[in-house]
Amino acid sequence: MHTIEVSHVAKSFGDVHAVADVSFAVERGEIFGMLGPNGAGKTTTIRLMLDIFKPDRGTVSILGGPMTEEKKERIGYMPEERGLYQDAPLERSLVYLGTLKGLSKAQARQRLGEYLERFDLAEHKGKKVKELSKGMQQKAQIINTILHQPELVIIDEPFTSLDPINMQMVKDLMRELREQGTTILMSTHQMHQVEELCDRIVLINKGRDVLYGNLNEIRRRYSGHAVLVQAANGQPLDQALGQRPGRSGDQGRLQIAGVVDVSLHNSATKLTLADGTTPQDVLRALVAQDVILEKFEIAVPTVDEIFIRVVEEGD
Amino acid sequence: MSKVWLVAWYDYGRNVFKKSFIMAILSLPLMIAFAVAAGWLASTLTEDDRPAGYVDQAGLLADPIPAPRPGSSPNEPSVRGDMPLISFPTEAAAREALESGEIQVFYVVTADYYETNRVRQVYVEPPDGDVTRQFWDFMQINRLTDLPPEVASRAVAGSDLVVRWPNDVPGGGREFSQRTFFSQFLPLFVGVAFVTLLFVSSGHLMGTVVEEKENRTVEVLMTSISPGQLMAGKIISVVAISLTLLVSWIAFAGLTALIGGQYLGVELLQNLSLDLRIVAKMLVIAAPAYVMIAALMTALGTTVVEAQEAQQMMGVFIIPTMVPVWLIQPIIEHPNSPLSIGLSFFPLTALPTFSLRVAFSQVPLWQIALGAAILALCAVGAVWLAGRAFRLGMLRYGQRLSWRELFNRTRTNADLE
Repeated sequence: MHTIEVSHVAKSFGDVHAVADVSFAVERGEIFGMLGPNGAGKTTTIRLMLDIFKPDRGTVSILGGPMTEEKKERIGYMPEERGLYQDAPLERSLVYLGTLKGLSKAQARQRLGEYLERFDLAEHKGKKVKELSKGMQQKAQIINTILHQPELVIIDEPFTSLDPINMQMVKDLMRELREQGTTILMSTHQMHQVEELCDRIVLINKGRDVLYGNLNEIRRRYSGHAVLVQAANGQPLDQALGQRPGRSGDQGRLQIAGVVDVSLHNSATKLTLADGTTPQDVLRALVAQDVILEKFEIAVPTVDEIFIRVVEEGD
Repeated sequence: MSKVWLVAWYDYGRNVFKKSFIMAILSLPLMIAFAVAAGWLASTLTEDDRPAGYVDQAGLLADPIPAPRPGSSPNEPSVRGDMPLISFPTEAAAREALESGEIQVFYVVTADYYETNRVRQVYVEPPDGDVTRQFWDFMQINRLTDLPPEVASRAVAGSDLVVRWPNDVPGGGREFSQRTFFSQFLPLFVGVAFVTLLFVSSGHLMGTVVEEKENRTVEVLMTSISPGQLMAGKIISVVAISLTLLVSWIAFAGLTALIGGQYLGVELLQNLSLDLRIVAKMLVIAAPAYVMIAALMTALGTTVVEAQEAQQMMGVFIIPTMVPVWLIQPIIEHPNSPLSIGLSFFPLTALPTFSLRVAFSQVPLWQIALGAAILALCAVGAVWLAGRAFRLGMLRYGQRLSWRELFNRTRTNADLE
């Protein structure tokens, strides 16, 4: 059974088709990434999942069926920005929201104390939310989302306004939650975080899902027939070949059977292979030429590159 | 604790434990206390509390009866205390006391008083009218010594016009008295307090709703509780906020009346009484009116974009409510006229109109029942509308929800299933 199943949902506001046709499923205990450019329909899709909006078409199943009041206590949701009472003291605000999720006041206070310590907010608990920095507010929102230990966490842009240390703290927390069996759906623009954290993704563009599945499989699907090679000491491959003793000029130029194109890719060399050539063929050829290799890997695109490619193709 | 009560208690705390609310609680009683204190202070500062004297050459006051308490005449309320009167054997002795400042004035009851009714007043600075009135009361009562003392005192106290409804008519037994003149207006003040409270507290509610919309807290709330629970909690908090204000104001008013009336001797604040039956009638009308206005304010809060815009739009509700205040004279003069009855049955004007009418007339019970029923129906409709507006409007950041959209069944039904 999937934790979330979204099937061909559509939602319009007047003449604006916010979501045209989106389908995906989120499995139990995974970190699922929801990606898409601004205005793609991600937030509307989340609101459809949470029953804040009713879909014009399609169905949503969450935690095994339609949304109910009881299920709300098993879900933690963090909207994209703010979401806390600005004029209220931090502790009072979070305890109140925790009790609305089914915690007793004592439970909420006790758990909140632990999280405030962990997120370095304990000394600010008496301050009004608006007096906290953006990063602190973001951390407070994350605490609010997980305080009641939900089975499902839906979190919109969790890393906004966080410095690298706090970002790492949130990432560790998300991994910890996953290990505990919590399902996490994360909507973000930060692709490197997706690469680092997500097991599977859906990419939404213009209200439609345009890419969906296991992240590694998607990257392999979008990888060309190429390898990335780096010689010892971080040298690009052609330089390594040119510096070998007894070789100079044209003799040092990169000539490997089965390679149709050579290009630089950061500090490595990207070798595009001809049809029928395998990476093993190239590796054997390089070894045969006595090249000392530091890195040899199948060239797979970054999520960033895939994102741009898919969105541009869609345009 | 159910989530409805959690919302109610939290909203109550957020609004009541704020400086602005505490100021709202204190504003009215402070204003009254200030007015009473200013009046008392002005009177005290200008009051000459030295005794007055008299010289009885006519033998009228050989065995004098004390003067009645000041202000006992309903036509001449006073804030002054009892003033001692000193008898002098001769005019020379009295003049000496006057010149030494021992007394502020003395009166000479001349030997031919029984023929001429003449009394001579001697002073350095003219005394205020209250002193003269007290001496006049003193003279009056001593001229009526051949009557029983209680009759003489009653005669000096003067007339007290009392209008009483017969007991055998509906709502009978009420009375208007000159002596308790100020008490007759208390129901009117209570009515005004109800209307003021209505807008203060529902204004707070609207502010809360707009703030939740502005800071996106509503998204978190809507994934925690149902819109119905949220609305119910908020309406309960409005009623609780109103009651807090009402009780605070009553407590402060009572305290002011006690201090002003009993300790400072302010006549207006003495002998105050409030007919609880009138308050009960007002409550019957006020309860559904509060729910209706609170729900309408919530609906308003969800349809607008900013708190400032919401404040401006509050006028839509306040202006109709003020109509009975503008028409206060015809309503008081003719409380059972078609205009008064008509305004009693219009939801937005019902509460202030009934407040005026029950204060000054006997409103038939069927009219109160019908008014309450109309308001209750409107309250149900307003809650329904607010729920609809809430679901449609709360997540429209930066966009106003039009009333046309609110009532458009085909476009909104999908969101309200």
